[in-house]
Amino acid sequence: MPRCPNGHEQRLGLKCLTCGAALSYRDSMEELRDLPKVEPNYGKVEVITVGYPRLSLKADYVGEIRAGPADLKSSTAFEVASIRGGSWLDFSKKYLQELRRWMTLVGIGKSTDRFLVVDTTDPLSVLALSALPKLEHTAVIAVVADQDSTPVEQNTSYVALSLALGKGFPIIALSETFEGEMLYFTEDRGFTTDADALSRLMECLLGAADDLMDLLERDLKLGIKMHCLSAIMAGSKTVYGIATNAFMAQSYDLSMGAKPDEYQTVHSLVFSRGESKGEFEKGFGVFRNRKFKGALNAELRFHETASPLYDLVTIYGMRTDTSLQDIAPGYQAIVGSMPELSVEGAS
Amino acid sequence: MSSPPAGGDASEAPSHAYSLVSATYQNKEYPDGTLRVNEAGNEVELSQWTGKKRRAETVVARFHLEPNADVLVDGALLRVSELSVTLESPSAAGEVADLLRRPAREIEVARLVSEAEASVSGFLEAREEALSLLSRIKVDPRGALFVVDSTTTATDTEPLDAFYSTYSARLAESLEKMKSSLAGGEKSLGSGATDRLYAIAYTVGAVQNALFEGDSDMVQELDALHELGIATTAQELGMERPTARLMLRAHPALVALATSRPQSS
Repeated sequence: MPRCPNGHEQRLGLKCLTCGAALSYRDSMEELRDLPKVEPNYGKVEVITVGYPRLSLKADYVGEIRAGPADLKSSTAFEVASIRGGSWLDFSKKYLQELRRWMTLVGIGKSTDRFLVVDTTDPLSVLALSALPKLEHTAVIAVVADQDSTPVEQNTSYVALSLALGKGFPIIALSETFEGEMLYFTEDRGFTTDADALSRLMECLLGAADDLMDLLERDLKLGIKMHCLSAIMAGSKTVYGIATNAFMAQSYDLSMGAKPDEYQTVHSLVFSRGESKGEFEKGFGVFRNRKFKGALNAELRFHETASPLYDLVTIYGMRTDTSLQDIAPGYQAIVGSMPELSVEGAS
Repeated sequence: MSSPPAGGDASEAPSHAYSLVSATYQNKEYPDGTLRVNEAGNEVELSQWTGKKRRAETVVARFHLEPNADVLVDGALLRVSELSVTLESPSAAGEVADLLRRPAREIEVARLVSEAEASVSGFLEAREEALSLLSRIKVDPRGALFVVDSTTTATDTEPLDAFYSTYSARLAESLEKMKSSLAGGEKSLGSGATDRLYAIAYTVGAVQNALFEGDSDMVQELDALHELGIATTAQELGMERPTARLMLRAHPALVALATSRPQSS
């Protein structure tokens, strides 16, 4: 603060208010040298999408990693030029350092929770999962190759999933076929498919991000990393009757095929009017006893909404190797002819 | 001796009048008369007494003096342009010379003030830029730090740390530059104007802090600016890039302060 020759300090002005002498500012200039410290607000949830340029998601931050006509970087997009004939390895070799820097710059890891929504058949998925640091509170929602996918897609998907599992990220897997056949109802736009349907599903999952991450991390402690899901969007009593029926009905359309004894945990997220909470809790109890009596853990999380229609998403914890087993033949077929496209090549 | 400034023929502005012992203008001699110089020191009028009783005053010459005109004084004799006058005393000649040298002095002072202001502005604008980016970082850290990255050189450090490192270095450098420039110019500008420049720099810095902290009324800052001869409003301060505007408004008062200081020679 400036001071007069008599040592009186004063915030501003030309004359000392105490003694009337002139204030000197010369020694006070150093105060302006230091910049104030700020605590940036990165928000609670960040989402990175890979290979889904058309997803419409609501989160504190949504960043896209995608292929495009040219290299282009912004605070919300990391776009790379397509590599003709390029495999995941070519993208990784070319862009890994750049993507790591981009992730640091846009603060990936600064929000409380992270969701990576990734098409693991896309070569950029391996790049993204290689670049993503090993972070806590990070989950992967992955579309994975299935038996209908090509060996190249199976190889890419296998490597991407292996990377995610290697970093300890819990995964919710949706097979390519399940993703292609997704059909959900929205109150404002009617039926949605493809990216719109995935956006609708993500709206539910991100709407319960806290609970979802909590459930996934509980499973992680039980050694369960891989999950599949089933969902009813915009359900109603008229269509499904009692809640138990809704739980039972949705369990027949799983995002990954697996035998009942492969399910280790089962958790449901329900978004409905408050008065139906008891009914859903009761229905979930019946559902669990009928179909998942041996589950290591089973929980229902209820989110109150104003809509007369309800959303129901159930995630099922699976043994890790289930999803990899299905695509292992394709992976091996590619590695047989191109050994560099192995999981080790991406690490 | 000079009469106090009064409205004269030379211009509408007040002028100083001096009795002459003799004068020569464009090689023509005038035995007596009056020399009038306007307040700004750039208009000169020579008149002589005419008529039978020499009571009527007739203007014989009136000219505009270029700011770079040489003004020479030798005792009571003063020469400028095509005019040579002998005044009543050496002190009167000195007074006229001082008046006539004023435009050149003001131009030089304005130049020196501008130089000093530029160094102050350099520091304050660097600080304004840093604080403006920090404000953005507070609300949109990802967008702001992505933009900032192009101005930093660090590649492996945390973006926010890199920001602080880069901008702290820039600020320190421009502050040193400012202090060195003000110290260098102090002999010519005087300590009064230099002190004022420091006061302006600190007060504008306080305005920047208030804006950064979201203080919308800034009562103390506005009072201090007013005291420094900078008229503005809280609303104006909230507009884009206030520093440049404040420095521009500080200029006239600074020039006046620097010009009014007693001349050493």
